[in-house]
Amino acid sequence: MAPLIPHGIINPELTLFFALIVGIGFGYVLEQAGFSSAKKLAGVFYGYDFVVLRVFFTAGITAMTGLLFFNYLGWVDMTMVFINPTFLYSAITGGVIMGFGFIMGGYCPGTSIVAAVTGKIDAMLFIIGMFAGIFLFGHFYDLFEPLYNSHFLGNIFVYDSLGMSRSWFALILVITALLAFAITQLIEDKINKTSPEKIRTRPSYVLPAMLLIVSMIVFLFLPAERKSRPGERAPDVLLAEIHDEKTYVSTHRVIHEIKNGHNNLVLIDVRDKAEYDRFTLPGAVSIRPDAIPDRQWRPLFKKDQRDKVFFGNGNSKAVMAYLAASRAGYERIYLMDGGLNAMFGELFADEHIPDTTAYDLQNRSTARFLNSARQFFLEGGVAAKQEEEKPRIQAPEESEVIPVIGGC
Amino acid sequence: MNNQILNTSSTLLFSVIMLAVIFSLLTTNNYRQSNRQVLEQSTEYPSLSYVDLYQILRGEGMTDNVVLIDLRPAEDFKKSHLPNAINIPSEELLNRKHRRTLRTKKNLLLYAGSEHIAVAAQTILLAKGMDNVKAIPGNHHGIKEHILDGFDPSRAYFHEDKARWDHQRFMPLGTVAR
Repeated sequence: MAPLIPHGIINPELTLFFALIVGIGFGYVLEQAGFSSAKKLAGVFYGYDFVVLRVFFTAGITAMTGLLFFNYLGWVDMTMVFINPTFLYSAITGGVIMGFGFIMGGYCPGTSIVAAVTGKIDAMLFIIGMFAGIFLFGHFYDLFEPLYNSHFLGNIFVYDSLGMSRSWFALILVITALLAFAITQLIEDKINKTSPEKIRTRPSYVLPAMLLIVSMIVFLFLPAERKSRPGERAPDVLLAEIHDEKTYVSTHRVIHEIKNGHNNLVLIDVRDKAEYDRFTLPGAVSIRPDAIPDRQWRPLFKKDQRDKVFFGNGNSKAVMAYLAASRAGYERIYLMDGGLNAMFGELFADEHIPDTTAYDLQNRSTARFLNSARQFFLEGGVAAKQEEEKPRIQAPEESEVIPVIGGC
Repeated sequence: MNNQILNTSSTLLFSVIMLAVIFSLLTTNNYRQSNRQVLEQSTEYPSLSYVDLYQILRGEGMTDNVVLIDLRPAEDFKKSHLPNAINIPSEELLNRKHRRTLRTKKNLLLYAGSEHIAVAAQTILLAKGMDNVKAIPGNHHGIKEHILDGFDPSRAYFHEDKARWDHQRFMPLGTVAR
């Protein structure tokens, strides 16, 4: 359920429930494919039945084709899909042990449970053995640990190691799989001495195979990354927004909100982290412009109903952040006009604060406002506010990914 | 029978995906650069210093290779503008009539009444797939005063996003240890 749970479409507390449903479905498919029979499973090692190879290769290339296209169309976010990190030596050791277990016992972990459920006694013994192995591994983990964690390569991909592009690798894999199906069929027929009559009346799988190859060839000609995505605002809309007064929030409004301790604005500091660490407005969160499209900030922009205000020293970096956020389709975003330079220029440096005794009412109230704000900032009101509001928004943790223990 | 179901369902799935691909290729082509690519390029800001611009305006270096674009409204442009600048008011940046001016191999240097308009125009043009645009730091007034009317070395690397003050100074009690 990789893309649904981190997006919040499915409540994470229901994870186990969905795991149960998916598990039942998986078990059903295994049973239907005949994987509850050790004879059938072990057939792949003796050459009389290659159904294991066919089912898993088919599952692999079908899922691959689907994911590649869904990712391209933006229906699935591949960055949300968990990829098992590679520990080379432990993977090799584990593979060898699993292979021996498979030949000796005739099952792999998942199929042994399916078989046990259908009442096969050898499968039940297999499960006992499996749990004994788990127990031993857990008990003597200290001994195994150096091997278990050895040669960590991170999330590597075969096509990167081979130095080819993803789409070429996918096409080659599909062709390899189809060739493997054809060749194993020949071997099977030879060993089982299938009658030519039966071979002729066998259903043909040419059409789906051809469709698969055609779609992979189409994928080869698609650009690796889509430049514009659905849901993005058009460039002329962005241009109009930049010229619209409503995009800008005045420094006075921000000062007012800070001074009165309102919590109606989310202040977003787009300056560098070092500047943010030295000084920032109370409650502000640091997001550099190039981090705006990051997935971790999506909840802030999508779910927080308050107005989001970008500010920098001037307007330029804030405008980049604003354009990125607006293009991504985020709502309720604004720019603090003039940035911190304008704010403190007006409060402290420029000498044009009008007299509080000014005749003009507008000027007089502005002057009062600025004077009280100046006092507030000088007396350390900001420091106090900063202290109390510091944990207001924090970068959300990377959404948890639940490791998928794959295989049969 | 099973084979029939397999053939139909795979054909159906295939055609759905292909239709979606064709539809997405036809409908969403507003941009030539993804949001992330644009940010990678535009956050190398400022991409031009006054030292470079001074040389360009004085006719040294890569003058032939440069087009100055004034993004202010036409009436401001009529009053004064940098030498050899072309006027494209920023509201009309994406208009069809300016497409030919913008479609050039030369470097486009943008300036406006305020710096962030030039930066916004640069960002939008980058997203449209042009990589030869650069926003000049500062506004028209500043450029005229500090480069044309006499080069001010103290402003050689000026841009508006520099902190004008050490903001902390104004808040004697405002330093919060993090």
